[in-house]
Amino acid sequence: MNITRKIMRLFFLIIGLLSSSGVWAEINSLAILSKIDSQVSFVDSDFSAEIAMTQTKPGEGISQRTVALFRRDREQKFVMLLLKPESDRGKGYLKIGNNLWLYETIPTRRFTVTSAKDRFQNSNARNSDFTRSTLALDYKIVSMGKEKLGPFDTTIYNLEALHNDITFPKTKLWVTADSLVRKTEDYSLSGQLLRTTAMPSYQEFKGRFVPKKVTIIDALLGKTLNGVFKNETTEYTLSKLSTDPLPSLIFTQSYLEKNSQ
Amino acid sequence: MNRTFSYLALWLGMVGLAGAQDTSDPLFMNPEPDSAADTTQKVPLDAYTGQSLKFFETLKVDGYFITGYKDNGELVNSPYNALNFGFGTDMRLDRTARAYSSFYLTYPNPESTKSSNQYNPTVAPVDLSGKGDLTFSNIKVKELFLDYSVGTLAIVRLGRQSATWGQGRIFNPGNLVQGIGDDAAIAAKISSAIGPLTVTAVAIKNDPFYLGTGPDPKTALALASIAEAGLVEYSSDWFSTGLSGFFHASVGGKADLYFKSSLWGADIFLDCLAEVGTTMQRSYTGVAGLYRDFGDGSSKWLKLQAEWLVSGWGNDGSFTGVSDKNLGFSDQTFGVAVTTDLFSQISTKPSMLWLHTLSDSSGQVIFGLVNSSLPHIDLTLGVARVYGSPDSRYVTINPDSQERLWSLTLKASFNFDIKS
Repeated sequence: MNITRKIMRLFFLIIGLLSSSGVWAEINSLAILSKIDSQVSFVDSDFSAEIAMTQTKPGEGISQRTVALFRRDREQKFVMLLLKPESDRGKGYLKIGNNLWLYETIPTRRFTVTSAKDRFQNSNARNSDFTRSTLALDYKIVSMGKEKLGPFDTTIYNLEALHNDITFPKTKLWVTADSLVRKTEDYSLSGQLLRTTAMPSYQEFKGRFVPKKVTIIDALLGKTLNGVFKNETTEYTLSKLSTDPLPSLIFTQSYLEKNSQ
Repeated sequence: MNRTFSYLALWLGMVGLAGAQDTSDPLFMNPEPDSAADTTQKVPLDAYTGQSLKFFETLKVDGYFITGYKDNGELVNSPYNALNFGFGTDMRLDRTARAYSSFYLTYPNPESTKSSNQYNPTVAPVDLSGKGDLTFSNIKVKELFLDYSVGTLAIVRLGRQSATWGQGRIFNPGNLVQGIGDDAAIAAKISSAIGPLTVTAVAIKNDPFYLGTGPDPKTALALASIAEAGLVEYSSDWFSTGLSGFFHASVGGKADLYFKSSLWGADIFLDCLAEVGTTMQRSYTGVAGLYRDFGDGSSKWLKLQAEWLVSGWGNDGSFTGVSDKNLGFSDQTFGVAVTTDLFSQISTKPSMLWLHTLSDSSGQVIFGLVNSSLPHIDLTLGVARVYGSPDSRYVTINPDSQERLWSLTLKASFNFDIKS
């Protein structure tokens, strides 16, 4: 009996120490974010999809783009190739690890270093939106709560960046029980809301999940029309999903060079 | 204490003690249910999969006025104008084959010795023989090449083409294929992915560039006048590296090794170059650089580019073999370029470039302000200062043909660009 009590005491002592030191929370944070990452990552195969993107600028109209996305998540490689509009057809981005290249033809043909934090083609999406999800590597959970989001029962995770090489230093996730992110809010270091992203529905594909439609509301960009501030928005859908093997040549600068105008 | 409290709150939250709020978000009013993906279609592997033919034209008209002081205090005012007209075709037969052509002509003709320096910034004063004979250049080939994809194994490009190697944006001694885009050049290039490596090999024929004089009819056809270059690159999760080499029988050999990565939010690179001339003279050059932007992601209040060059033969960028003027590692130069997005709402972009050489304390500082609020028109205000002794590097290579050391530039550019 005494031994059982001692073991129980020791157990609670360890739990208490782990909780107060943050170790337990960090382990849980890592596990939760890893699970979220794994739901949307294709580490066992290549992944390709077509993205149809519509950007709405209040008072200026609508612009549309179609983009081919190629990913090799296990090697942290991705290529994005613009298919439409015609004027931008063949423009491309190549990302390998933490290096991201944009091929320019003017004034000279050369690759320029760009940032995953930058806007994709001046839309409200960022280049980093299309890469493999690496929440577990980039963030830690600092607080959480519960919220009903339309028909979804969600857990809210407030995240803080673990390093500087990340697009948003603070972010907030609404996650359903199946570990799918339904909504995010991205913040600056000072706590200013920068954008809201909604992914209400997913398509299941080869045991993983891909958002059907993503809506991004830019909190900073927009225009006041008739006394009301209207935010810039970008919506995109993903289709033509495939996990067929991709030629390694796609993930090279030469491939972008060949497709450029 | 706060850290401990937040972790405790997190742990408590994880075991479900936090209460659920109910919010009505319009984005989630009637969401489509999750479902299986439609897998009947696949994304094309290339942007161009069928036949495609494009014509394009570009026209750039510049008018500008430069005023400033020379070293002796003389005030020199210069109105200039220039016109550059380009046109070409981009023909894709299918996803394997492409033919591309691009031609241009300029006004005034930079090769005309009769052109007036008053209106022609490309002609140095010593070349002047008169004023008012402003002629167009002949039509020149800018690029004319054929692309061919060997399945998914390799991409071949044959013909007149341009390319830039090297990591430096301010100083780029690693650009071993510098002669590839010249008026007199023709090249063959093949690229392939071999395992984790990307391999590129190039053969370039450009006798005026590599031999330093006009092509000798006898040597022009000789195989020895062809320059060969190769580049092997590897990228991992956290860095990229590449090794390139160059050889020309009349110039010598070069080898370049670069390393590129991101650290603390900055892109960093190191580019090291070794040269061996035809008489075994040697020279070494290194460039280290970083690029970092600052801002919350929506607009960058500062974009900073800084590079440090340690050179055995200066930074004039010319490829004429190993220079006699080997200054050793005391020849150090730095360059800093900054710009900002703060004024993008009024379509205005300020920028600054500062180049300074430590070996002779010369340099140049350029401030620029470009406004693009009018359709097709860029208005530029520039201030340039060149400093140093009369025989120092940046005074000697002053790009102003009037050799002003202080100058103010007002420029208007009309840009016209159309594709069909």
